[in-house]
Amino acid sequence: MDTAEIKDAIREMITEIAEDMDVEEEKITDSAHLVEDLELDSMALLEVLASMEKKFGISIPESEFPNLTSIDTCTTTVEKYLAEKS
Amino acid sequence: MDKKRIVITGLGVVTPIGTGVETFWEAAVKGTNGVRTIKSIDTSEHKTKTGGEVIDFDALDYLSQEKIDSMGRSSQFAIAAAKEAVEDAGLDFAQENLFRVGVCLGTTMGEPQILDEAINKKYQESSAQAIPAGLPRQYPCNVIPANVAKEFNIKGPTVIIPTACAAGNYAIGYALDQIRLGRIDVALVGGSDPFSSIAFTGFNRLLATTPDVCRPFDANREGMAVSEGAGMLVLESLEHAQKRGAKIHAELLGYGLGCDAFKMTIPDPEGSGGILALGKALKRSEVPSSEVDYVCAHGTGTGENDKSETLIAKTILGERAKEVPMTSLKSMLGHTMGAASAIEAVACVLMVTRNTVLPTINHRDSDPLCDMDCVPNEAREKELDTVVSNAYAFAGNTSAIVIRKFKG
Amino acid sequence: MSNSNLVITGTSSISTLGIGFEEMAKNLATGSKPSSVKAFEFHELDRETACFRLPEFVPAEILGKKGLRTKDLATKILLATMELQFKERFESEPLESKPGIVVGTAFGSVQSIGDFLSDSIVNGVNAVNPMLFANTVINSPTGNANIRYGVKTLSTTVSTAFNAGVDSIIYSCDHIRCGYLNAIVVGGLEEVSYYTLLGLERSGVLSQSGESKPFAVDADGMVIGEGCAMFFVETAESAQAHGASPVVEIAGYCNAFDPAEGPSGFNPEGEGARYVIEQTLAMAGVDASAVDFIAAGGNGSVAGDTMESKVLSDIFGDTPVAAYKALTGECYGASSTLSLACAIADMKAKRVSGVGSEYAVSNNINLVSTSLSDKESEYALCTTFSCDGNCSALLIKNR
Repeated sequence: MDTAEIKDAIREMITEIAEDMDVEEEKITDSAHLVEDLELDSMALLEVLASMEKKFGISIPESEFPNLTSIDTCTTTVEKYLAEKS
Repeated sequence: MDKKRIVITGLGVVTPIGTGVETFWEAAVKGTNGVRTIKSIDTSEHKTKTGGEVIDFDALDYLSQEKIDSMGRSSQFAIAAAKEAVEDAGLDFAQENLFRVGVCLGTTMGEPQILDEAINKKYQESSAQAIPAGLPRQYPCNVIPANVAKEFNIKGPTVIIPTACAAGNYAIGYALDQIRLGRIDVALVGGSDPFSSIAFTGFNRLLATTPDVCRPFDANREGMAVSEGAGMLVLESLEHAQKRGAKIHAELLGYGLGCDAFKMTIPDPEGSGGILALGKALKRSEVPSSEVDYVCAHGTGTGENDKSETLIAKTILGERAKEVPMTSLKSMLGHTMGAASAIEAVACVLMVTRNTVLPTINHRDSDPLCDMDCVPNEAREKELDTVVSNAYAFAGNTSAIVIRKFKG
Repeated sequence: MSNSNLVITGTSSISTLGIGFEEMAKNLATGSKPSSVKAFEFHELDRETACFRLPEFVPAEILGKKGLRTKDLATKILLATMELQFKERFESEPLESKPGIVVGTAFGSVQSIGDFLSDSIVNGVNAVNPMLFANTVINSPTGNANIRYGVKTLSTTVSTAFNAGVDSIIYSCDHIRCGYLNAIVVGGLEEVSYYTLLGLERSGVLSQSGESKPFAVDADGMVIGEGCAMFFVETAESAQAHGASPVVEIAGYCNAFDPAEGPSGFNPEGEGARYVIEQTLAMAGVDASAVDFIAAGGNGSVAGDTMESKVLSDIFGDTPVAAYKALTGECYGASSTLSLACAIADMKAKRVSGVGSEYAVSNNINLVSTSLSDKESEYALCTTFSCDGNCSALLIKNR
């Protein structure tokens, strides 16, 4: 899986959550802040974490939680643990 | 119209630190930790391996094998605690109008183990035929009070209020209403919840569980511990208790309910629902906050709870919040879910009658945010007159009850 | 303690009879009987089961699409039922006096619990969605309603099998009479769950013919359904202060517990059933002869129907008996409140709706088969009895 594919998958997850919060589609950019721009609450962030673990078959430690701030940083985090896994 | 006075005349408990009121009290005064490595379910894939399990409970001490087979663990706990409470109260049902005896309990999910076994079997056998015919009659939460009522042939209102982790207080409050309104004379009230793999998995996935023990109000708290148990009380009008010559343990002055209306799984950081509930409980009890001698905290051991609960105490008690002891029994018991506030109510009655404050154990590092007296690690002798007990839940439910030493 | 009269000033419902109270009232009047839904999409047994599901219910049409993604069906049914009728009153009341919310349910969140558990078994305990864990607690629909309408005054869930709806109203009446609140939006809710349906199917209590025939001597079981009915219950003073017109008064109520050993669960002597009816009439200060019709709990399960019809026949003789579960199915926690909603609609339209077909009934009760028109009613009694032993009755008076 290359970076673009990982990012696409993460974007899809986050878009689904953000749309449910009634966030306008154009606001959902790769660098948008998940909490400040897309209005995700801590529960939604937990859901993002769980969805990424499930989708990519990795385990992301709790300590990474503060780094999950945008689609871009989520992608970096996932890549890091995919690399560790292989 | 004068308000009827409501008294507590019987107590019973099933907890991870002991089954039976005296066993429980002895362990609690010593500050016993009931959160241990879980044995009843496979935790190999879970991040957390610890929780509270009742280890000295044998259902056969209370029920025939045939009855045990017909009901789930929540009902078994509830009946065991109810039998102890009824005996303690010296209640003779032959002398009662059974239509004027009620059962009002709280729980979280009903009989989750029945559902758990059924669904696991379905996947093991790859067949929907594995879902047992008895499921609809054994799983729903109303069977818990129904099983208790059947045990004593009770015929009054038999209700369960499944408001999750605050359910015990809700049930106690509703029984108080029914007695005050003259609908019933006496009620078995409380809560029961068995260890649930569903709750354990869910709280793990919420990253809410502690990896070892539960440390409420500690700067290095790491979360809550899923647990199990039951608490039961006999509640009756003072008039009814006096008429039958009952020994009165304590008086239930009132209760208050509220709701955070914030998020499903996160308490309002402003503590709005908890402030409402405790405020209403004191107002309806006609107790000024200056008379509160002790707060039995919800105290789950999560950072969210600690912060909002400290704020609630400070809002209601003002400056006194720093000196009024506020302890978390969940530091010893873990979170017994729907049973929690019922067990805490039993503990509050014991504390006022024995003038002893139970401690918050596992305490190491004080948190400047929780700058009040959590009675760290060791029980304390203290004259107690009026105490309050908080309970909060998923979905924003908040509640508080007020208990006072009985002075005739 | 307040002695003021309790009134219902608004009703909302969602069932196979219609989305919203007006549609339900209209469909009751025309006698249109919904056909049982024969397809249960995830049914894994070897035959189809008749079931009153809600095929035309589109939550987003009523609620908008925001925030619905992770909500379960029961929550969506409850929110939609409340949105249709009570939204404005919730919004107009200040925070400290917003009406409380009380909901009765039987199986509660069993579908969500089962799905969550299945996910953890199939995909592993770390693959579950934490958002869906919130749906597993039985108070989840009620709490979601509190969040949607910003209601901090009260949020209670009550569970007593078939009786949960009426028992929730009784809880609310008690709460108001204690002087805690002046108004509560209260009712019953149930979704059809896969796990319950399979268990019921296997236990043989469901109708094989697929017909819901309450009190029929040849009934072959119940047909289950789903839905919700919610009522705005308040003191007469509160209604007056808000310019709300009382639709009916809650004149009396009582609940009790009277189980029997064995599979049926109903005490055939009906001692508890008699008790709650007598106490309800006594609370209202009226005789049995004052009751114009009965909205009965009969659902086609022979043991329960036989017990209830015997008691009704003994106490009320040939007073007309309406059996709305012929039209809605046995909707468990929602059932008794759907019956109450139908009774209110009938009372207001000066009629009593029939079950839609003629058949021989147990204990010769006067079951209404073809709707009675030009029937003025002052009092209607709603009765409900559950196979676990719960007995409840609620008397309404026309206003």
